[in-house]
Amino acid sequence: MKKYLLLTWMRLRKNFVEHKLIMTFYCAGTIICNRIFVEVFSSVPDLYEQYLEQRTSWAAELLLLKLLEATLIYAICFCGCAYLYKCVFDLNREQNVILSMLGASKRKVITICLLETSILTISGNLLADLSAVFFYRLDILAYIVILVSVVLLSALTTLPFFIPYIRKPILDSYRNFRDLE
Amino acid sequence: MIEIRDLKKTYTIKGSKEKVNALRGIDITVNDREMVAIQGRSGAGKSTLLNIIGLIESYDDGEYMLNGIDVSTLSDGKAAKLRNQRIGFVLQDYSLLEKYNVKTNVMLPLLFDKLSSREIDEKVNRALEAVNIDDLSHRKVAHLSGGQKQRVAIARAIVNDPSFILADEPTGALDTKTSGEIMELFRSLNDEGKTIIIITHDPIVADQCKRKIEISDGRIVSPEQVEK
Repeated sequence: MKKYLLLTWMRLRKNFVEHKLIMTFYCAGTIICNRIFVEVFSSVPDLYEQYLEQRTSWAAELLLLKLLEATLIYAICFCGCAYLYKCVFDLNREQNVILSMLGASKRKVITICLLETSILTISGNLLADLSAVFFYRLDILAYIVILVSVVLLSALTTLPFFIPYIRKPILDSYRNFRDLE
Repeated sequence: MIEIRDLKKTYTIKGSKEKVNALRGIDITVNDREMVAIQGRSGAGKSTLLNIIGLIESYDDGEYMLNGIDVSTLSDGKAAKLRNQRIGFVLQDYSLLEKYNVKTNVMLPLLFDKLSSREIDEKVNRALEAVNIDDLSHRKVAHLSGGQKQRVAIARAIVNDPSFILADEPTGALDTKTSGEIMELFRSLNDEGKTIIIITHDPIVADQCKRKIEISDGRIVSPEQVEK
């Protein structure tokens, strides 16, 4: 694991040095996604409670609209993350080829890619949530809830990795040694 | 020992359905401790052949035995392990991580093995000494000359003490004097017992190998020459 982390750290450093803009967009994108996601979803429980109390079609519509809004925002965030993942994986194409040439199996290359994106998304989400704690001066319970949300959101934003469109650049670079020539 | 029989490989060009026959039935045997040059023009199929020998690319038809192992039966993980422990690559563009120092680059293949930090350090130092750049271990690769970079690539290729070294145009980006030094290094590695296969279009480089094989349009055109 220590060696995987070392390789991941090397890759992160290389990407931040060579591709500052795309990596900044990636981190900023993760933070923005987190804030929008939390803001939208945080009002859902109140609206649901309101609906339970009033049982009116107006309250139901409001809840439904909020859920639709949240879903739409998540879908946009998801596509954004998916695209950014693809960019990050494209940046690593050459390095993946070198690693596979030196004896990394497909599984190892994918593990390193996943570790890299996980570190980026987790730190992005953590940063966003901790800044919320700092700015809104939340209590310890809110802090715990936020930590749980970091884990959940990080898991959610890792979902795009399982889309073939995202995985393809990694597998392509692994298979296609000719890219290096 | 490498034994290749009737090896075929076809590529489909991206964006079209056109197929290219990169290899059209290659037969080669490379014995242990040999130093072989594979010559041919650009597009002849020599790099494809080297990638297949190095277990980087798969083939469509034929037979490839590496040290008696039928390569087609290997899983991805086993092929990667074999590549890591038995094969070293040296490429024309060096394929090094420019932002990192020499030592980090040379230790990369060892990170896929279960070795302690001490063992890694020992192996890296031995490899650097073998190519006479032990004094450069903490220098960034980006600050090195072409010849020094190629020495780093060779150190990385030999750090795991592989049986085979596959070099694709290793002197292609170097001047005549540095090319001579690099070829001398390959010869000394060969004398130490490594099997070396060099892909080149340069007849001067090919002449320094013990055997030459010429490829054209995916076929061997010259009979394998008698070992010097």
